[in-house]
Amino acid sequence: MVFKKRALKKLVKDKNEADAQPQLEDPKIEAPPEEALSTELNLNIQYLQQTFGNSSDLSFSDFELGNKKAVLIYINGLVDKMIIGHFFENIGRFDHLIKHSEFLTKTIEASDFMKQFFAPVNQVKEVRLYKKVVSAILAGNAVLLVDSISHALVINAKGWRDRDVSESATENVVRGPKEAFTENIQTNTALVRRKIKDPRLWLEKKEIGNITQTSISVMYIHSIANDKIVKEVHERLDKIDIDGILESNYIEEFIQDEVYTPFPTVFNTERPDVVAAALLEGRIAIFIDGTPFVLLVPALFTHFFQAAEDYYQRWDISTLLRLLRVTAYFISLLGPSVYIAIINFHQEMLPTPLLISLAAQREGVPFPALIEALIMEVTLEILREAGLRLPKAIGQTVSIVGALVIGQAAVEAGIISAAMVIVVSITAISNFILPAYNMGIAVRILRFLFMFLAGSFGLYGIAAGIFALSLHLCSLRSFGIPYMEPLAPYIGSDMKDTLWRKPRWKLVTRPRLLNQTNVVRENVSPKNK
Amino acid sequence: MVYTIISLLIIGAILLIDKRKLKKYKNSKDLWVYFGILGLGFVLLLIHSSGRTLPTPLYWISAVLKPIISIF
Amino acid sequence: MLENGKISVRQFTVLVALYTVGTAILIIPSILAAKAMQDIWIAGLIGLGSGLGLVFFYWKISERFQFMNLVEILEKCFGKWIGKAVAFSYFTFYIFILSTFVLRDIGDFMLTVMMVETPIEAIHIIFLAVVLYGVKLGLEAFTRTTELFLPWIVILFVVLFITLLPQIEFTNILPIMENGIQPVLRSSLSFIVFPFLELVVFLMIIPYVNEPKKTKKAFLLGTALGGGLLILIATLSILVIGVTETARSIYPTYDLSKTINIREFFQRVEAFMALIWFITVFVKLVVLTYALCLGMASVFNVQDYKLLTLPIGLLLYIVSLVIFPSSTYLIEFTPIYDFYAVLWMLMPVFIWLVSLVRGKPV
Repeated sequence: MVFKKRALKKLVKDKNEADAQPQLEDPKIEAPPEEALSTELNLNIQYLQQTFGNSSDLSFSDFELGNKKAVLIYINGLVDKMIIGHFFENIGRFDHLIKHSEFLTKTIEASDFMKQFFAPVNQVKEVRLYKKVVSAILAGNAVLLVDSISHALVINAKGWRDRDVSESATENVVRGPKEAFTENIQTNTALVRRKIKDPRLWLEKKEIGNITQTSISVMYIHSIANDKIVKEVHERLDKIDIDGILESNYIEEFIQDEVYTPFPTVFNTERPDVVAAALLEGRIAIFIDGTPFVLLVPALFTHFFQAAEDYYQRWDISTLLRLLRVTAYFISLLGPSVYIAIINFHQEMLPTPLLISLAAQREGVPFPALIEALIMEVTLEILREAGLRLPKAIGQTVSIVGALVIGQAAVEAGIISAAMVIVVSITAISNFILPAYNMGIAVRILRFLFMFLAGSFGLYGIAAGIFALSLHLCSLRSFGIPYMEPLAPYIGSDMKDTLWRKPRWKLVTRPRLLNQTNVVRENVSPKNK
Repeated sequence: MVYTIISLLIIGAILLIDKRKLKKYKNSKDLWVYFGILGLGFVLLLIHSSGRTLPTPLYWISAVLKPIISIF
Repeated sequence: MLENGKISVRQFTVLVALYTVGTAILIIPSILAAKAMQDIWIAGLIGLGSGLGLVFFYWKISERFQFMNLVEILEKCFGKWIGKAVAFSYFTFYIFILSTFVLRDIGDFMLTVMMVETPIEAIHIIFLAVVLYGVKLGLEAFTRTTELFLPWIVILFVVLFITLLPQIEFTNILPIMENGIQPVLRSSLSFIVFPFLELVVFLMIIPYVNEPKKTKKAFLLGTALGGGLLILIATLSILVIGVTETARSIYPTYDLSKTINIREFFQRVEAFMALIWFITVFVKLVVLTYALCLGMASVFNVQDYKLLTLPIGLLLYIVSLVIFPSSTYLIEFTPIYDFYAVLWMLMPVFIWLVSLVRGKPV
């Protein structure tokens, strides 16, 4: 460890020294990136070709513009072919047009004309620096360079293929909006804007990733979100120094409060309605370009038990479903361990007939209950992981084989008792009930710990494990908000929408800690309902 | 012998868990208190694990208090 | 500042209540029944009344010294060095011994009733590890945990109470005051000593409540709730399993939950009922160890009490193993302990007197 750290330090030091020294310029590149564009077109083209290393997808289309040589530069695939086609179509009519306009004003410059010509349809910008030209090309714009003119025209021609807004794949609902985010950040923010039509919905843009230059947007409702938390989010985002951001988890791992915990302290969702609801509660959304998963902070323990649909069904239904989820959570956490503890240490707790039948089943089983459970759980986890990423056709085979292995064959071979199969399958199914996948994984990890505790100390071990787990949960914070809020610290007014949900007209106030100023949500009391 | 090894393991675990804190207070006199208490604990642990029974502090308490109580 | 966290008044109440229930819930019925017999509830009420007076007195001390912690109070009162010496002996000879008792209670209980084959060392290490983890996480974290446990205690207790209702026999508490008031008073003294006297450690925690001035009501309310629960349990065990059984049994509450039997269906749930006790003992030990670490840190001017947690834990572990050479020794020692604890009770009284003589401090 120590050596590794030292080697890393040396590496960083070397890099910094190398950065400090002026790099040897390639003699061919005459213009360093900070400098302004040259008036000579060939020089500019040469420089750009050097910078991009003659990349094959960078295309230079030469043509003549009012007796001057001109070139349109763009990256194939990032620009919309229609716009480019439209551009060149008009070049053909150019002479005619420019004569027509010369007729009006004598001194029009070709590029100025182009600018005005395209301005209404596409955003057109003038830039003068190489650096800007390069980043404009990379962002998917087409850049027009004209000989003897020292500025370039950046024409917004962005138009690559995006996935359409489609139905959510990970968070399904029976009732409620079906749309989900896509990989395009602009589409995503627009999806939320369409739901919240208020100027107080603020969106702040950043670019993170030294190489990927990924756009990140922080969205919140000003005057509802807690300013302190907004500031904290910005501070944490600004601290990130990484070469690339490809998915929201890159950000999540940087901004979460506690690293050494199985529990997620940042929420992610791909549903616009969930984001909108969270924003209305005063939470903050972080959009990352290139992924449909949007981060929501602060994320508290109870949030992971709330499915989007809880708000689209009547309150009594969703209350019962939530309670069911909490029960399932405990079963999936403690199911096998309680079984192990009872079989090993506390047989007296079982009614005699049940005990006899269990003992009869376990008679031929060669392993102690802990090993038996471990075999089953590990097999199950392997099957689950295997089924997750396989092509659908093979996935089915795996599940059939798995069902046979895990179920009947193992019992008939006398390796596993039938009761254990029941316990393990109930545990597994309970785990699927949780709406949040990352919370489910936390439970999967902890389940094994509890099994070991139960195998060595019985219910006493489980109790000790629960104490340690509760202490851990209570020590967590998400952006300064205690993770177990409103259960601990207990905030009565926030309990209405946690493990149960009260009727809509009773959800009058927003969560207290998330928001300190603008608490009242609606002025509907049961009387004037 | 086994118990001695376990005692050493316990002490090792304590030092390992406190590693970061110990580094933080490297040059302060707080470490004297820390290692004072830890050393006392270690000695007691060794004696206990070697099989000798340590006297309970309650003996002394009752030795002092019994005559006083008998007055009442 | 040794502790940066702040807890709310509500959290303080919960902490006090569960601390009061603490180890007492399992043992107190037998201690009370030994002398007071069927008048256990009278003894309990007298004990609770005096306990509330005691708590009020503790709070007054805290208020008089502008809610400083106990070590600071002692230093203020007796001067720096004598104050430190008194605080040191107080923490070593009272709080430390008390913590080892609590830890040993868990070990003995597990060994006698639930897991006979497991070595007591393992039981102590597991429990202590969790407690030390809690202390290391700090006051805020373990207080929140306590709050999280509260509903479970309430649920389990209500279940215990309801399921025992059919078995209650009111003739068990008759006749009232058969042997006069003397034994009742004697056993109420044990009741005062056992949970209420020990509440003095909250003098270390009151300074970290966000509104210390409002703690008076919380302190009294917490004590009353905890004490009330204890009286209820003690009376329940007399009503259900009778005086002789209660007095003879080491863990009457556990035996009480063993009798739960609803139509041969809901029975043998004592292991779950033991969870009430686990939680309250856990809270009690966390608070004691926390106070111990904090106290020692202020005595030795250590900047961070968390530094001392593990060494003190190690000492707790060893001493808890040797504290009772045999279980008969415990019975022999109990009357001495009552006296010993009362002796330490003189210290707050002393503080009060000194502060009266010296006039209003600060």
